[in-house]
Amino acid sequence: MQRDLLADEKIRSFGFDPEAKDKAGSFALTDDQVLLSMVRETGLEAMPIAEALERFPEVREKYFWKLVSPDEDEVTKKVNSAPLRGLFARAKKGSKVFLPLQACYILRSEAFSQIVHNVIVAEEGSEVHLVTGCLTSSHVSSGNHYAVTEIFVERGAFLSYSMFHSWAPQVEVYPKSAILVEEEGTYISNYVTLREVKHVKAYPRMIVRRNGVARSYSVIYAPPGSLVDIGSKLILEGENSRGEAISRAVSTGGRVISRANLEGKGAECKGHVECHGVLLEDGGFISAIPELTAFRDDVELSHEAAVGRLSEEEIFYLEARGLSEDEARSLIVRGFMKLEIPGLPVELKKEMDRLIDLTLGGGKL
Amino acid sequence: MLEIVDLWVEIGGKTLLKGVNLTIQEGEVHILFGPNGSGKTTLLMTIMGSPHCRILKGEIKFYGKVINNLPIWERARLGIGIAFQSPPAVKGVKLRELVEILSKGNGFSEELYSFLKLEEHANREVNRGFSGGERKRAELLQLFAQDPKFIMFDEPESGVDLESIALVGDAINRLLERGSCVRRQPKSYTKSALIVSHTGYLLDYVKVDKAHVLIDGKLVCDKNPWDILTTIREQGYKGCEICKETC
Repeated sequence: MQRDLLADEKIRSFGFDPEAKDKAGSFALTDDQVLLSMVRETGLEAMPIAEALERFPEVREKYFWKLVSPDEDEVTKKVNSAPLRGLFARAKKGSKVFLPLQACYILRSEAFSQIVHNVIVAEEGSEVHLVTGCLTSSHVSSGNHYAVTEIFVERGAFLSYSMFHSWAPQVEVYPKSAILVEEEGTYISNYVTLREVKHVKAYPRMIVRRNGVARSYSVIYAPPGSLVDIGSKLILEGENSRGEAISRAVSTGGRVISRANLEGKGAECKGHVECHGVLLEDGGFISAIPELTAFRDDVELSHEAAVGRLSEEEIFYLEARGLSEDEARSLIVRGFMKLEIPGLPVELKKEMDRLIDLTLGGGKL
Repeated sequence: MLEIVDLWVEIGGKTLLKGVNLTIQEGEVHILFGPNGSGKTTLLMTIMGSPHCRILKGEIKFYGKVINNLPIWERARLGIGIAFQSPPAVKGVKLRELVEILSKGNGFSEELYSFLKLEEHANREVNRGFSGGERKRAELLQLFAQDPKFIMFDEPESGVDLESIALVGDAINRLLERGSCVRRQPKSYTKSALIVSHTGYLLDYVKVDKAHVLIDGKLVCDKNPWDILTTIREQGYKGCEICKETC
């Protein structure tokens, strides 16, 4: 059964391969069943969260429900009262794990509510790259996914977290994430959603300590019927902390709300927000909502936001080189969505670009 | 190759070209002088097919075919190319990526990146953060990849330091297959060009067959390029007006 499911075309096309040699480990949850949990690399742990709580007392003491409170909102209450499912992953102190750890959350039964609680820890001086795919199997069109994810980037650690969403038209998704970036730590969040989804609402909160860096990238493709409401809140708490929130949204009739909220609290902290949105067709909207709040006189926060149609000047320029209007539009949209993400492993970047090509290749572009 | 007959063009309700007649034969290079706002760029943009330029009257023929209503990209595929005066940055599209698209099957030589001093720009987004001179050279690079039969250069030397003008001149000669490395009899030239210039500096490097002066939407003169340049340098464009009356 396991092999059948993982052979599902949609899951395959999404890049999840349980036998992949180029992954540090794999974790897969279908509905509420752990299908797979294994690691290949030393210095890395990945297991169901319930097992981690049993085996390691410090998980409950230091991490579990420590960044998010169980009664914070409807999502956290739901997660707190449901049977415990989810991933615990930890890079041990000083270990550099260059191959990505892959995690896959699959809605397999129609109208199922998947409820998960994940805890991810990059211990002091470690490096780890996590890639998660969240999707429905081919025949499923409705369901819900609720998740609490608590992420700890400890002193001097580097964690990249790439999340690729591929849901179905009647799926609602409510991930609740909180991230703590300790001194000298670096956190990179990379969120990509490319298929129709009824509603996604995500607003991770990132707290950045002294000399820490948090960078959040989002690539959103919203076909008709989609409502994607995503963004991040970066609290630059520590001295000389850095934050960046960059989003690219494309609507072909879907609705997008792209939020970014920067709070500058630490001495000489710096942050930048970039929200760019392009509407290729009517019927939806893109709303860019950047917010900046400085609490000190030595803080530097800035934003640039632009929403609307593709630049006519750029299209004309490419047409004058002999590209047809469709070719010019397609080239510009691809380029627009293929963000440069410093620090992301090349393989993950390629995977991301492949998914974008797959999305744009099938449409009228 | 290119024949323009009594061309009248407006942009945003303002008539900018007022009956332009111009013929460029295969293998000929023409230079177009004229003060700011005289309609030089409008003429180039109209030939290229900019949607902002509305043709009120007249015809543009390329190899005998009227192209007034052809889409921009079809004109480009017929063999019309342009080096823009101020090309836009194309976000997310790398210069190398665009060159590869344009050069499919053209036998584009990698050596052109170093010839145009653009090795370090290949993997950058087209024109993004490029200096004035870098943009001009990136235009020329794209034209090498595209390989058009008729090329319009809109002030290729503006914003380029004096030292680099020689390079721009060399590149134009190579594009038109008139470079020192291509030894042919003048009669066998097949590529044509229309160069818009303010300064005439390029005349030191590119052999031009004919020159024209455009003033207030009308071509007032066509003569030997050096004679016209001398008149403009000594008397300004007023000199051309006077000369026109005596012509």
